[in-house]
Amino acid sequence: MEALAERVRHVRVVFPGYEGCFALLSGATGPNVKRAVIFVHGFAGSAKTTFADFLSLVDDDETADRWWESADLYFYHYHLDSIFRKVPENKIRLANFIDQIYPEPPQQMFAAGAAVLRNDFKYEDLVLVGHSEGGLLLRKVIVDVADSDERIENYKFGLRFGQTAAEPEPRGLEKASMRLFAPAIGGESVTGILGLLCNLPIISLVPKLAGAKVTMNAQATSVSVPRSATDEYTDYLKMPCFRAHILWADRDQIVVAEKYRRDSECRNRPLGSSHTSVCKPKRNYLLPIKFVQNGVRDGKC
Amino acid sequence: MESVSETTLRAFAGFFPHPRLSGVFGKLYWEGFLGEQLGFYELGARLGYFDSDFDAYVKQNPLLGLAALELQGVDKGRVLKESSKRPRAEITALFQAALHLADGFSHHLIVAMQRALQDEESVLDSGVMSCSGGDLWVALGDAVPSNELSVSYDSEPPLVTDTAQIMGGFIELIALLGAFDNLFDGISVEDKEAASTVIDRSFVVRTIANLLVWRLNLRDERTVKRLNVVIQAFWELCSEEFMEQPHGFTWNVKESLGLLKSLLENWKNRSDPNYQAKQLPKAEPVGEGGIPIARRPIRLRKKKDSERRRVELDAEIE
Repeated sequence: MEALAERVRHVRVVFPGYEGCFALLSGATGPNVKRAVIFVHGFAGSAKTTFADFLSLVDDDETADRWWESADLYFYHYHLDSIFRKVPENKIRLANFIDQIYPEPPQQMFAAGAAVLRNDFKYEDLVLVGHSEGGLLLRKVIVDVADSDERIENYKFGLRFGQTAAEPEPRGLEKASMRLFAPAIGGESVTGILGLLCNLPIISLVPKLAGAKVTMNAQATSVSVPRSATDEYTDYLKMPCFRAHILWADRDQIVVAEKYRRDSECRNRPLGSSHTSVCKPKRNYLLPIKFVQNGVRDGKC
Repeated sequence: MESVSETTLRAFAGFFPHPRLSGVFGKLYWEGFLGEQLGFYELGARLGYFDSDFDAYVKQNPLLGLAALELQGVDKGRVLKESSKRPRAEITALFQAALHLADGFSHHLIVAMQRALQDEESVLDSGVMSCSGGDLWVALGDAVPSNELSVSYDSEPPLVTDTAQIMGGFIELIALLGAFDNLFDGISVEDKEAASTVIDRSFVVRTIANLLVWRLNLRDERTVKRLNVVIQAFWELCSEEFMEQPHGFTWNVKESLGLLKSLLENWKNRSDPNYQAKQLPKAEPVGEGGIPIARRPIRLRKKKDSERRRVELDAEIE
């Protein structure tokens, strides 16, 4: 990619057909834009507030690497559905949303009147970013994609009979990298009104001294199936989509911080961060931006 | 800023569907809304965010143009001149993010709450509000996307009496104010007048805070008093929910009160103390320390034999 002298900023655009969803499109020209980064909020969150300050900080030389100039950012919104609808329903709608974007985003987003930002454009890379329930949904989407890929099934079958064919090249969503903030992949302790309250930025949670057992149903099918399926895929596939990079909060009472077997988790948890604040970058907390870009290396991010 | 005519308000009401926005509050709302939109436009043009000149902008937004003529609020010459000066990308990014967040105030539950805080009469004037988790659940579940709401500008709406809607609005508002806190974190607005000629982050934050203060004016005594009633009900709801659903954790009441106080103080202090927000008659400014926060002890509601009894908790702040 040729050097971009002046910082290219992003422009906010409403995402067609999905209320509340929006994108930040890079002002760079077609060949310079490499990737889509899709953000998915969690229970009772919103596209507007959960990842709020990614919006301004990714355009700032002081706070974000130029890697972001070559990325379009998409923010998925399912606020009421996250409260009232079940995980499998939310997964289907999210999968449809991602299909709209990768590899070929809706062209109408790139045109305003006579001006066209990019034509016939495709992304090379995909980064999926989830917070809380958003993380769980993304894992389920990936498992569904893999489950419907006959090449993977054939490869597994071949391995069983001693064949030594190369692992199939990832295609479509299998190419995705996964970055998860406090994902609800080990269960989530509260939903309903209490969950709504716990996710507000003004509610401070503390563990009980003689605590009741955390109630989240880690055995629920929606939680346990993607875990076992993903762990099984990682036994014989190296595709990055099955190996999430995870940043847990320092003090999280909402989710059970239990990664899948081959995930990489950041061991330097941000001091004082909570379930709701861990994914919100600020000028004095830029870790979320670096984490999305670089993931975890040697246990650090 | 001059007043907007009834004709313009009616025209706007048809294009921006919000239910029950008529009467005195309806007028206040649309005046505030137009002032905010034009203010954002003017600031955005100065920052080079809006590429088109004012006339082209008006052509695309005829209603805004109509309002602009009536409000006489925008100096076209200055706007065109300033648009050629492009500040750094991070300044426009900050503006864009704030513009995007500000749109969140149009959430129908927040508007319902705003009405309860600002209307001539309000259910909150009784000084007591109650909302159970069940009521709130129904109110949230019944939420209909705003574009499906019908407009009835001509019919006189009932006073907002649905406390669950107000509570829902408060919860949405808290999430929104939290996002603004994040966005403006670490940007000092001290000694930054709105009339400043230096366009930097502080200037943008102060200007936007002034544009939005009509939505939630914490220097207005009546608003603060009514908001206190909502906050009291909110703490009671929290107490009930944490008590009724046993988990391995609970809430830290004092720390939560502190977080709310800080959130509201930040909102109040970002705007210019001398800025005159549009408000209904009878509203008077309050001095320092007017930040709403629960003053009564938090009450805990318990269900027993279908009756609720109140238990005082020793959790008063300060």
